[in-house]
Formats: sequence, C-alpha cells, structure tokens
Amino acid sequence: MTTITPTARARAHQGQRAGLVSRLAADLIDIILVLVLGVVLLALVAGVRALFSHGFDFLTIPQPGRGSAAGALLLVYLWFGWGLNGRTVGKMAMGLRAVRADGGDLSPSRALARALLYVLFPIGFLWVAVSGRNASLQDLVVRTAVIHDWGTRHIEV
Amino acid sequence: MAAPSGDPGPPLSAEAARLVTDAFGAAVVRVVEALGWVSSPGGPGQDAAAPPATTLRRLPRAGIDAGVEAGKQAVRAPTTAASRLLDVLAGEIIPAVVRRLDLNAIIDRVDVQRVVDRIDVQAVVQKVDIGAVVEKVDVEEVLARVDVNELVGRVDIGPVAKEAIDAVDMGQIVRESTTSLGTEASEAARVQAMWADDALASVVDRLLRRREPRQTGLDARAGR
Repeated sequence: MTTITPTARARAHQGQRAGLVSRLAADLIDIILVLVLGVVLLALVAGVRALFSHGFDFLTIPQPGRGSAAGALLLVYLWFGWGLNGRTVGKMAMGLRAVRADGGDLSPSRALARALLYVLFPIGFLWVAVSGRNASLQDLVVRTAVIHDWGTRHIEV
Repeated sequence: MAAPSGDPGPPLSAEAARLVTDAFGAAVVRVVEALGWVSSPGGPGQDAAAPPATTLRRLPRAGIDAGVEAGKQAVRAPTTAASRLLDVLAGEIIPAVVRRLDLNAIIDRVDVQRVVDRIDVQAVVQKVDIGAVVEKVDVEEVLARVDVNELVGRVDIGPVAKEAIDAVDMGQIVRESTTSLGTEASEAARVQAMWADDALASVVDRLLRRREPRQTGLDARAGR
C-alpha cells in the first residue's frame, strides 16, 4: 500500500461518502451533547419549578416517559441540524454533512424522516460497514448520504 | 662650456644664463673668425693650411675669453639677485602677509554653494570603487574595538520594551494560536477517522470477498 500524506487523504475524501468510523465519531459527539442538553433542560425546568415551590427538586422522569423524552429530544436535535444545513454539532466537528444521495440539500421532511428512522432503528446505522457505498439502512430508505465536507477553506493538515 | 657646478641659483635661471652666455660667446667667436683675427681650432681642413699660432694671434682669443666670462657674470648677477629676493619673500614677507590676512573674511566672500553646485557628485561617486574600499575594511578589527557591553549599557531598554509590548496584541496572538491548535487537532482527528474508515472498509471487503473498491461517490443527479 502506498503512503498517502494526511493532506492528500483529506483532499481525496472531500465530497465522498464517509465510512463507519467517521460517522460513528460524529454520532457519539451528538449523543453526548444531547445527554448534556437533556440534563440542562431538566435542571432548567427544576429551577423554574423551584420559583413556585419550597425547595429545588431536580426533576426526574419515570422510566417509560424518560426514554420517550430522550428520543424526542434526539429527534428534534437531529431534525434541526440536518434540516438546517445537513450538519449537527458532531458532523461539524468531524467535517461531515448529510445530503441527498445525489448531493442536494436535505429538505425538512426528508431530514425528519431520516431522524425518525435513526431514533427508532439506530442499529441500521451499522450497515455502513457492510455497504458497498458506505450507506446505512436509513440512507437507503430515504435516499440520503453522509459526505466529507470540510467547507471551502484551505485544507492543510 | 657648462655652467659651474654648485651654483646657488635656481636651476631654470642657471640654465637660461648658460644658454645666453654660450650663444653670446659663440657669436663673438664667429665674428672674430669672420674678420680673420683668429683661426678656428680643431678644423681638420684648416689645420694644414693654417699658419702656426703666434702670441700676437693668441691675444685676441684671450680677450674674447675674458669678454665671454664677463658676459656670463653679467647675466648671472641678476639671476642671483632674483633668487635672494625670492628667499626673502618666502622666508619673511609671505608669512607676515599670511599672518595679517583675515581668512574668515575671505571665506565669507566665497560663494560655497555655487562651487558645490558645480561639482557633479554622481560622477565623483561613480569613480569610487566602493567594493575595493569595503574589501580593505577589516570588520573583525572594527568589531574588536567596539565595547558592546558599554553600548548596550547606554541603551535605555525600559521604554523600548514597553513600546514593543504595547505594539503586540497578546490577546490576538493567544486567540489565534488557540484557534490554530484547535483546528489542527480537529483536522488531525478527521484524517485519523478517514484512515480508520478506509482500513475498516478494506477488512470488511476482504471478508466479504468483494473484488471492486467501494463506490463512495454521490449518485449522478437525475434531472432533479
């Protein structure tokens, strides 16, 4: 195998579908962020409630509702990020962008469908490792792709 | 006949005196010969025919020689006098005149600017071979003469340092370097992930016995 410099590798991958590791790293960042966001939201709600009650009581949600609330938060977060410009914070960090399979921008409805599929059936993501086109099952269903897109700035690693 | 050696007069005057006296003497000899008063000595054709010299014949010759010598003295006398006059002038009068001169007044009357305007400085500079001058300078020796410590001691570092620090926007430098570090770290992580993507895909493709490389390009836009 010939040696490829980091800069050459970065340039060669621009606009190409990203593999499992890059996408997994971006998704892990997103999940951690959503967890932190959830805790902050709960603390905010508890703080507001404390204004009308005797003491600060950190809000806890009982189990059936807790998962649904977390799923809903993740759904909104992913929808917002992909629908806006194809990037969540995790994808920004890893230089990725979710696009249509032909490279066009995601419409809000397609972004919502994609987010819904990811929240309901996250294991489908692992198909990226097997797919000959680096596509997850969700990508195949809603005809989307995740590409390397570092933006227009000069790439120099 | 040459001028006597050890003549105190200036060489030019002595030469002139010699030329005049020689010419004068030669002319007198020619006249006397033409008159037939005396025979010319040394003429080979005339020696055989000439009668032997007698005391009577020698007399005019001696007279002529005396006349010639007197002429020489007469010419030399003013030359010697002029030489003495020059000695007096150079030794006493000119220094006295110079002492009395007000050189500053003279310099004030000289239009120095006009003189300077006439000098073609460019031409002068072009004639100077700066390279040769520089080559002659022994920089090491010049440096050895400079007491650097004393030089540095004279510099008031405080204000200079303050001005330099004021001119540097430390906050901007810290911001830029931090951003740069963050960017470098993030880009390095991205490239690492790319490398891991390729490695993992390669392993999976080998396990699946997939021959063709993955098609990671986007689909062609189908008229949408």
